[in-house]
Amino acid sequence: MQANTYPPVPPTPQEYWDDSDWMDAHIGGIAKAYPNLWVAVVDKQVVASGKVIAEVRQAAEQQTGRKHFPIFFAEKGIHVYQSAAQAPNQN
Amino acid sequence: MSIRVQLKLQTKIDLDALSQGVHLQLIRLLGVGQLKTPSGWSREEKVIIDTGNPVTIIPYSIWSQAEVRILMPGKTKLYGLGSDGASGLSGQLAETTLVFKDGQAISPPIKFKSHMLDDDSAPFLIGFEDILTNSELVCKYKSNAAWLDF
Repeated sequence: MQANTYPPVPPTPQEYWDDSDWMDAHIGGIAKAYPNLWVAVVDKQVVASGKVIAEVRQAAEQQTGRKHFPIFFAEKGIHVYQSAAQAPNQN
Repeated sequence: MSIRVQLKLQTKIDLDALSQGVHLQLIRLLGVGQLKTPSGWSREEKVIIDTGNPVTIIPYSIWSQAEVRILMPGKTKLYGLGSDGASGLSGQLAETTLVFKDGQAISPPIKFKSHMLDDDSAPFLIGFEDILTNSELVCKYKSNAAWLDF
């Protein structure tokens, strides 16, 4: 951790945190409407969705002109991820 | 003096289970991070704190914009219920740098090893190696409070 060797981290607009909070509060409905897709939220509504983050980000930017907004994977049902390091019997 | 970055508990009701009379909560512990890029820092990314995961996993669209150093040239595979059956999630082991942030605080930069996925088929999952091993994770679900101390 050598903080002084890195460039400063730019501030995050309040709109980002507001949209992130809205996304978290409505993630159940979002996951039902956009199952297992990446979704972008701007001004407290889903503005883009898809399987590729870069495409979702580009679509949301083009549609809204905003650069800072949350994108999240709308998991439908139960997802468990496990690395190979924990599964030595699988090669 | 340590730096404290707040995390958030996200609770989702499984609507399919609810339609069958089962109240099932799907809870995730979330944070926000930014990766070091060649010219500065990436956009904000929502991340899942996953204490069941030994190594962080980063989707392609996110890590491909970051400053990374490949540590192992060959492909590695991740296995689990979230992967595509027996085929697993393919990626490479590499090193990159992240900061966590909330509305008030920013963590020190953390250099860490991660599985860089070949696609966007899994979310950004924070694992133990180099990140949770170098911070203090506190999760108080009943108090609706969680944070990382650095």
